[in-house]
Amino acid sequence: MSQATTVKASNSRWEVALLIAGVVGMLAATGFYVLKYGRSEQVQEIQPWQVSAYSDLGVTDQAIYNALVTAQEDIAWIQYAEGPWPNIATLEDFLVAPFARDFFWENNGQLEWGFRDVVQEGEMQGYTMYHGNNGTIEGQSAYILVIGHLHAGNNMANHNTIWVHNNPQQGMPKTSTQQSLILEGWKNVVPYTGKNEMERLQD
Amino acid sequence: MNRLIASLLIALTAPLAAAQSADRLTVGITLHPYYSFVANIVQDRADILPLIQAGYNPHGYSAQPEDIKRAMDMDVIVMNGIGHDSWADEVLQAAGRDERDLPRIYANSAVALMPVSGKDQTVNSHTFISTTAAIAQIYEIAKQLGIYDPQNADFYRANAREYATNLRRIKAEYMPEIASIDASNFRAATMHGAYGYLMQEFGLQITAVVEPRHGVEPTARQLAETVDEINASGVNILFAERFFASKLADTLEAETNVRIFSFSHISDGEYNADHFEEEMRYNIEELRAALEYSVAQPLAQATN
Repeated sequence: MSQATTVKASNSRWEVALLIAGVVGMLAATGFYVLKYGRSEQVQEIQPWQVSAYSDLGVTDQAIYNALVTAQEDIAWIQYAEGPWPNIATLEDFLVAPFARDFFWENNGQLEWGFRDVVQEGEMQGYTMYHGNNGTIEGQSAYILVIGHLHAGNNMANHNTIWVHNNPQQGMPKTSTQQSLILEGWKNVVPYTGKNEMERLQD
Repeated sequence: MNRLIASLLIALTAPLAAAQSADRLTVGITLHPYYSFVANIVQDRADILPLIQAGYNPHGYSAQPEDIKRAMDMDVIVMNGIGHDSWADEVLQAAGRDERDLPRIYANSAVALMPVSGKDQTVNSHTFISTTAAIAQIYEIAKQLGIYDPQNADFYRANAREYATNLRRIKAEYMPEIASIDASNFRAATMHGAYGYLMQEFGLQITAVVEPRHGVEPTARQLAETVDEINASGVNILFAERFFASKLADTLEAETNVRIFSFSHISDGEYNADHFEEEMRYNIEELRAALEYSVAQPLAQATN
């Protein structure tokens, strides 16, 4: 005579609890991953007298700005290799955007560029300014690139800034000090650089 | 006798050769454009060692054991650093090369970034597909290499300037012809969000990025959605990827009113000093051809 074993149906309470715990665990892990590696909005502290190159500039302004960022390196290197700060004609000869009168120049408002170099002999401080205005694209700004010389002729000590003005006809400022530019309505453009992005990715 | 003299000469000059080799910098690179940039900057005064072999696409790359061995032989490495070579971090970590042991030159440190067209706030890491942003990186690389190899710093700077001028000359060659084309009917989409910097330096804009799946064949449903997206965007030109999915491009051309052209992502093929210039020339020629095509095209109404 065989012995029968009766198996009672197990209570499903533990299975449900396990399932809930599993789901909660997965959600927590996903949340942690998204927080750690997910893309978040770029957060930059922008002052009232500044604009972000990444999120505040229109298409044309951003194109001019990005060209000026590279141009400031060209300008410093031309000065380093050849002496005087290059004027607009020299930059055109070297095909440097946004000064060279090419397709980029035509499609980005055909700006009129001017140049001022305030570095006198014996002077320990000065600046070189590149100013573009009278653009033909609706909504575009006027622009200045200021290369400040902490020591005249010593380009290793430069401090460069780029500014935009919402009046496209705005003329060249009389001085390069931050306060006077702000009072005239110029806004300092803050870039979002590869360095900023790397810091964000590492956070 | 000759053998004996040759052996003696080798024995005598071997330490000198080893010393010279020890002085030479071995510069690692992660992406094809950086090979060309570094080759033109250092010329014959340093060695260049790609982290991955030619023929692999760095998009979604999986590290191989040989990569770790190559990472062991580098003195410094040039990287994109903003998302395009994040796989390299794993290789370098596996090789035990942290930043103190193997300095990184982040080419994009000072480059002003822009978002991918139509994708709010997503950083476009393809700064190397352009002339202007490439030049900013070339200057950064030359400056940094000068720090690690100071006796050649001026040489590197001079070469960087000359190379930058050469790149600008390529663009300038095409400018008169491109400038004579009426671009008012040019409405372009790209199949990869990589070309914003390139278009920006020609004063052009990308209307839409329609990317079913980068580097992978899309499913039928994704393809149908892409066709709808293209038709709704009102574009008359679609730039596909030069080395990928010609069948997909043919299908899209047949199913929509767009004409397909292609751009090079500059991350395929052999590593060589001229690669970047050759691929940029290809890209500009394709852009010129697309602009010419757009002149006679009626503008479709965007519905999205």
